[in-house]
Amino acid sequence: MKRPIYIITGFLDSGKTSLLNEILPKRAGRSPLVLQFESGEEDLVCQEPPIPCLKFRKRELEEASSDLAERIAKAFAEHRPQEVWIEYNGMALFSQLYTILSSLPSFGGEYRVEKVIHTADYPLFMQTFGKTGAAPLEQLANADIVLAGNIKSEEEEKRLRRIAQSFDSNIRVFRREEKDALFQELFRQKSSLSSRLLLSGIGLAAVFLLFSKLLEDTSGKLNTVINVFLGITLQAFPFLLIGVLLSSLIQVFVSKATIERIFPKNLGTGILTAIFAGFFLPVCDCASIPIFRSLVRKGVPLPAAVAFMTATPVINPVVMLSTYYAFNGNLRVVFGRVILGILSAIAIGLLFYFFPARQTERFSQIADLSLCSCGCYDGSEESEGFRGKLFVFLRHSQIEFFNVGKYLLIGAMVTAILQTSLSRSFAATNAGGLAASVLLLMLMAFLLSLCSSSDAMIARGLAGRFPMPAIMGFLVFGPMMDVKNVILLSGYFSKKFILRLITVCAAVCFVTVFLFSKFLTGV
Amino acid sequence: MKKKLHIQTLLEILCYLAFAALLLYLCFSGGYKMYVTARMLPYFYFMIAVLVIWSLSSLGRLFRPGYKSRSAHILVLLLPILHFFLPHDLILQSNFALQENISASASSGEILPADQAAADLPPSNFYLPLSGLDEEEKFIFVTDEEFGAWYTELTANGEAYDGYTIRIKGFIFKSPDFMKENEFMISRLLMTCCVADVAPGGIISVYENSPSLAAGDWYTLEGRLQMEKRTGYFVPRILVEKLETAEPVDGYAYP
Repeated sequence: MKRPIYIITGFLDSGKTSLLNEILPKRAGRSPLVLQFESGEEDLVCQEPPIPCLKFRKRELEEASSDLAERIAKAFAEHRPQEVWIEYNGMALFSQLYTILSSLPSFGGEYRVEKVIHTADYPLFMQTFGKTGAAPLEQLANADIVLAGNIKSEEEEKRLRRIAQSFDSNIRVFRREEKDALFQELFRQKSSLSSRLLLSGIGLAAVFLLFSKLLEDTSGKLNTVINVFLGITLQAFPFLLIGVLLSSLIQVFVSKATIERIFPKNLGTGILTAIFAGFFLPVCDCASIPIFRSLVRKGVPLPAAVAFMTATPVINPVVMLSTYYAFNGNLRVVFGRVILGILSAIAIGLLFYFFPARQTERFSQIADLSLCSCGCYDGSEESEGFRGKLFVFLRHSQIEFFNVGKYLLIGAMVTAILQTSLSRSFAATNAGGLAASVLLLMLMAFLLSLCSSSDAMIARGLAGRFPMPAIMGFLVFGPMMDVKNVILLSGYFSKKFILRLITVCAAVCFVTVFLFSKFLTGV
Repeated sequence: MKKKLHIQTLLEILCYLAFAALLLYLCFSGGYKMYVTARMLPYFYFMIAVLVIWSLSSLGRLFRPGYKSRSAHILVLLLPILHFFLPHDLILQSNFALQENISASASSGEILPADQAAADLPPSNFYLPLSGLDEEEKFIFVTDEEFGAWYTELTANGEAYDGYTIRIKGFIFKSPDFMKENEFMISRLLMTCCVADVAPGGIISVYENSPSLAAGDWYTLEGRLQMEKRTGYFVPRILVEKLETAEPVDGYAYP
């Protein structure tokens, strides 16, 4: 049985010491050792019998970790504690402490970190969270238990739980008052990683075998679903990768100041610059969404960023070429698509300018922060210089790939199921007027979630049965918004914002296409 | 003190490499053709390169101490790999309603008859030179591999082949939507971009005994190409002269 190390992290004045003062009297019989990396307002009451307590300053933590490790090792050897309690500094990286601990000779064999408790004073937490650098985020991400003080309502507790669990869904959140529950959780043996992995492996294998059995007959619809899912995934992954790499490049190498300097502040030129940039980026919608997010984070005004996101997948050279090719060189279709795409993007950008989204509406801010806390900073001491930045860039792109990739997979699966189960009859009936058929094909583009480089071919297949404006609605709206995109966006943005984006895009595309239908059918 | 392996990093590296290996296998075995077209190949090589770079750059973190090890996120790469190993096969023609009105079909793609393309400005051909073209004899022999290429060429530049004799293999596809009683489409399943858009496509053929042909049966036919003006565009037709049953061809055709 290994001897446990308990670590308490949390912001200054969040109640770390008072928690220790509550716990330690109960643990006196197990000859604990206390290591303190922060001296707050409250003093540790190392009362009868006196509990050995080592204090370190934050400076020591930063400067000479080998020296520090030696002192800790010596204390371990001298006191032979049955358990160790560490009060950590609120502004230091958790990984620094963990690295020191793992360098101890007795670590791994004799001692192991049993639980990490993150204390949070709710009002203070909400005020400072995400604004005080990487350390608090990284500490929260590494916690097993979050202990919340000053929580006034169910609502607040839920909110905190949502934030904590966005970092790690296994984090348990307790109120400061729930002492019994806390102690129970604190001293509960946790299942080991290997047993958890083994269990999930067995579960996965069982599901796999079940589906293998179901799929033996490959003539059914399930076969089509698997095929379409793999097709979309294989097709979209490389493009998603391009998007994630470009977005991480912006995140890591381009500073906010640079973007602010070079990106035009003026609304008009800003939107035009965005569309111009979109023109030269040969990426499809899977790639434009991560880039969109990076631009917004780096301070590009929302109208311009939205114009970029909606224009890129419609007007880039690859899409133009595939449209040209699909429609056998019919330039009217190609230019119609590009011009309507640009016009719609400008209109959407302007709408976001005149009816701005509130800051809080935009990001599911949590997801944004958690992205950067679960690994990017683990080697922060190395993130200096080009070499260091290169590694951060690579790590950032990996994390972002996993983060967005899961939404892409869900999107691909939903699309695969929709494609196989949707009856074409709704597409083949060309009843109603022009407006109805435009709406119908826009809806179809939304549901089918085709890649913008291939949708032209499908559109051509429809060209015999639908009027040209409807085809345009399909070609312009499809790349901007579809099921897959919405699921991708939900990895970054709040529901409210996405809903707004869908509504605005749909309305603008419809109006643009409708207004220009004369031009399209006329000539 | 022994160095402890960081499980999360290990799992990530294994998944990168496994996915890269899968892509590499698909590229070299040609297995990718079941899911996407050859146009994706450069992108696959790009992805393989990135995955290998990711693995290499992660090696340094393999022994770096870390308290938590996450593993759920690797499903992003693991799930597609597992899906690949689930039993599945090419989408069958029978998935597309062959005799019924196609509007009732639950197909995953759109039907691509050669005559519905708006072909008013023929582009340069993407596939030339095509084998099987004998300009002196005015004869076109469409090999199984070049079905898609000839489909594109005839759709775009049909006028150049007016009056040629063509020999082509495919299955019978009928749709009252855009075919007359005495017509059928000599078809293959065409993949334009990825398997999500696979749909029957081919060239409309005129044949007296058309109604007696069962949809989905495979034939090799020989006939004369004739350009016909339909809805303002010239589209190719085959006036069937000879028809013989044929063995089905596996796989899709790529226009």
